[in-house]
Amino acid sequence: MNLIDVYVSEVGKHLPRKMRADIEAELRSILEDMLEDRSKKAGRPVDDEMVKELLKEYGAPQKVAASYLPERHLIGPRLYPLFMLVLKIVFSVLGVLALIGFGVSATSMTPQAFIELLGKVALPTIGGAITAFGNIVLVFAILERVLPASEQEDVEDKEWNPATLQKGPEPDRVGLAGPVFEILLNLTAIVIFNFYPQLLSFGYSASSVWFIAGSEVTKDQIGTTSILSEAFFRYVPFLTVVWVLEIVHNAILLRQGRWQPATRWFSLGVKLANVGICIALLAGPSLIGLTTESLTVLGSLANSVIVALNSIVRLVLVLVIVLDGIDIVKTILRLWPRKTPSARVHGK
Amino acid sequence: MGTNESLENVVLELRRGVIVLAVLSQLDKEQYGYSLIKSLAENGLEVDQGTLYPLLRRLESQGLLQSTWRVEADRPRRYYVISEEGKNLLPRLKEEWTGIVSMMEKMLK
Repeated sequence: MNLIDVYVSEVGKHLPRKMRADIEAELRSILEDMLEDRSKKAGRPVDDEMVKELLKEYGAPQKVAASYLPERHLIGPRLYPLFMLVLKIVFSVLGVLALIGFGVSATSMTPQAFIELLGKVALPTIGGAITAFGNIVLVFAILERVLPASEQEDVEDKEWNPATLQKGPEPDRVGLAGPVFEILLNLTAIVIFNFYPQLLSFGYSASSVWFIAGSEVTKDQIGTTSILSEAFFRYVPFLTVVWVLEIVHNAILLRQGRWQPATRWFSLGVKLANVGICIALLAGPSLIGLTTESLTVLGSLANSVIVALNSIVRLVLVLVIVLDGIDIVKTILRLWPRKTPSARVHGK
Repeated sequence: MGTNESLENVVLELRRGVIVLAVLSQLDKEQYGYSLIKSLAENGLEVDQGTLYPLLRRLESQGLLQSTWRVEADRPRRYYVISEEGKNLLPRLKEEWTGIVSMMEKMLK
């Protein structure tokens, strides 16, 4: 097998099977034509040196093969913006959750224990992030190959209407879903924490029968215990005031359909009160009412469960503080007086 | 990137824009790949073989060229010629080209 044949075969290895034979035959023909021409110009027969020189100029086999193939992307320009958006959302959420988790754990740990936790959690967290990234890439790579290209672009072009630019985004406009959801959520909290606190309690027995308090009584019931502690329930009246104010606030927003300075000030006040209560809860004693006695059925795990539940509740409080904090900053920025640009004078 | 390299890249882009029209204009008579490269070079358009041969296949897949294999002097060669569709398209491409040249002459005054 001469060098030309080897070269052609190498190029063919990088080509799809269906076009391989045809391109190899054409390539061989082209190279032989070029050699013949060079031989005539050089005034000497074709030799190895001439062949090597030609093949060097012609290019590396992979490069030659690539020139016959269309440009290929793992994730093409069409889907790339959406891919980046999804990555940003997913990693932002994962990052915030990881930081909050670390922060909450750190408040109740010695520095040494924190470093140990950092070591134990860091690698799985990084591994999880890499897995998430890989899964997102895989999904988008599949979409790139499955979505029909021209149809997608045509649909986007047909659906594009410049009039939609006028509709939004308006920072003062209020949708329907947000306020309705908040009203329902606050109402549920008021009802449960004020009128049905037993839903947050359970009865326990030595034979490990657990039941919602008041729903069933067994002959060997030892007692009932609330998941949340007295320290938490002391703040329920204050929280109830905040929840009522939130309901009123969202009702006004629904009625008016847009934010006004007055509703922004109202929101600011309510969120500051909420943050204050959450900070007081966080700084106070344990919010979990469970005791090791009530969890004897778990044996040595009882304490760990109580610590974990405490951490979860604190995590939720920290999350509320962070989210409300962000809302407070955004509200202040919107309320901040801005200089309006000077009006243009149009000549007649 | 130096100025010379930038210039070469821009010139390459300019030439790439005319290759299709140049190829179609030269294939009213059958030619094989290497003879076409020489014919274009004689007319002042140097085209890299790594550019031309994939282009010929692409134009054929688009229906603008036809090809046949012929054996001459024990050497199989693939001969390309402009198709009926290509012949219909060529006058319109020439018209477009004339328009572009006229527009550029105006802009570059």
